[in-house]
Amino acid sequence: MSLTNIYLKIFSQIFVYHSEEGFLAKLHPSSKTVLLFVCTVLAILCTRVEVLLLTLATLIILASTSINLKRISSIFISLAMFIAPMVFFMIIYIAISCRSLYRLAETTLSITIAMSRLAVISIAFYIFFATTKPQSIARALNKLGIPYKYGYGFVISLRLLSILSNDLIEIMSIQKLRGLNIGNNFLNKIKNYLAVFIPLAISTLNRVDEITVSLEVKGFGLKDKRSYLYVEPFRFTDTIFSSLCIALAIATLYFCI
Amino acid sequence: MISRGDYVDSDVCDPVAVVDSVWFRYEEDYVLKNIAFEVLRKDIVVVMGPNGSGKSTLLKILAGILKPQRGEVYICGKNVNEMQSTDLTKYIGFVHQNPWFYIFNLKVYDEISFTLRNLGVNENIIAENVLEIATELDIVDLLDKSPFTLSEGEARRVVIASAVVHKPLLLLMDEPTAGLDYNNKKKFIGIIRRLNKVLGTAIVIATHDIDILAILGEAKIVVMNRGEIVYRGYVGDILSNPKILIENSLSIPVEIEIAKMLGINWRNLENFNNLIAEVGKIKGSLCR
Ligand SMILES: Nc1ncnc2c1ncn2[C@@H]1O[C@H](COP(=O)(O)OP(=O)(O)O)[C@@H](O)[C@H]1O
Ligand SMILES: [Mg+2]
Repeated sequence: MSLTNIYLKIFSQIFVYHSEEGFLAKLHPSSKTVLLFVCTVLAILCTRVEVLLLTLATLIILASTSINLKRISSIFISLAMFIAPMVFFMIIYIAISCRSLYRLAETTLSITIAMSRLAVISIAFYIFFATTKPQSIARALNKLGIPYKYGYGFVISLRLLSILSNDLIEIMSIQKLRGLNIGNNFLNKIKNYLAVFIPLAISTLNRVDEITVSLEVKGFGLKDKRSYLYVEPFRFTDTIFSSLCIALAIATLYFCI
Repeated sequence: MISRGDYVDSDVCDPVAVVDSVWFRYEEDYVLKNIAFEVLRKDIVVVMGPNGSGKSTLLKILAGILKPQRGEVYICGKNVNEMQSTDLTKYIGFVHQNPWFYIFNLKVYDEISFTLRNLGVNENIIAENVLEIATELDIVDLLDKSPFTLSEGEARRVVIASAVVHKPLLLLMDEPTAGLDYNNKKKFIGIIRRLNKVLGTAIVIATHDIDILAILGEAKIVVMNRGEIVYRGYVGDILSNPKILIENSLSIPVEIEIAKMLGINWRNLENFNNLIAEVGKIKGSLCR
């Protein structure tokens, strides 16, 4: 598999709900939204590296209650693969351009902070999408006052992203089997891109068309309000968890800033 | 049938493909468990199985699109994951179950000739080959059309044409008859059979379409369920003992049922062919 394929494969898994068991999966979507929000705020406002790393560790421990370790580490590895080249070049640049050791240490620290921020936010989002049913996300958005049409649109497009990247991998393999990439001049290169993107566009349009039709025949969007058969209970654990999150965040921010 | 061009080494290998104890999984659970089989030269192998049994996955592994976690696949003695992509193109014709994953040219003719052009074949030879295949699949009048306006069945026939036009040694076809009516299925089987008989092309068809069994009585069959091979043998044998089909959420073709009911010896090829022709006519008129 080429590097592009590996990236696509990982990308295709980020927004996919796959964990139905464990502590996080049983938590109410609102509690998880609180967690997501708190982590994002912390990551943006907090400038102390130890606090960020502690938050990251907490998130990983939380994640390990519902997502298996292999998946978590694969997300980490892909994150690392993504940022490693950037970090590498920055370090080299700094080492060449600034002579003083103090400046070097300072910049390295700020890079570390930036990277931990990125990691905290990515993991928080990953946890949210991996353990929350798409329907629940849509419902939660609806509760927040966003019309359910848009909520569902959002959820469907997230799901579509992952299908799209899987399709892209398949189409690339098929066209390669048909002999794509053998020619090397400029015209051929353009043709190569078309050979992948036209089928991708068409099959995506087909999928969107199917989704639209099947939603429409079920009367989706007919009324502005809708009822729900299944409603998750907001449990006692949820109250505790959310309050704890908020309290911890406020305390950290108080000491941090 | 026009013979294979000199872009493929004609001293054909045997066995064409070997699947050596392959295990494969997308996520946690294995979807192929210890699959092993060989495709010999001149073989037609039908891989049958209910939805989700792993047929498509197996074909993708045979084509080198997916790499198994355990086990190896060899095409003409070479490990498929280490082969040059040019060689893979020459050796393998692949039909994916979604025809829209192929189509990007403005004319059907260009779509079908894509592989031959990539292999650097002379335009005259391309024209001969395209016309031959198009005639057999009854799509000659589509050649000048835009492929984007085709119906599903037409698109599938175009894709089949573009996968067989370079006369590969091994044809891998995933649900090739989905969306085809009975007559087109028969035309499809016709060309498959001729490629097989005349050029010795090895063919693997993954499908749950039981109509194929009635038309392809002489083929080998592999029945899969939940990632395992539960039966291997000949189509003729499984039709006389359809228990395995029924146990695996498949059924027997109507023709065979009727033959059994009428007490016709369907294993006698001539009787059986007459019967199929009759039932085919009935099916054809029902479809119209
Ligand atoms: N891209 C994929 N990612 C994850 N699981 C998949 C993927 N493709 C297929 N599967 C799963 O693998 C199993 C076998 O699928 P497939 O080979 O398509 O079966 P078949 O072609 O016999 O219907 C199914 O359980 C299916 O859900
Ligand atoms: Mg399939």
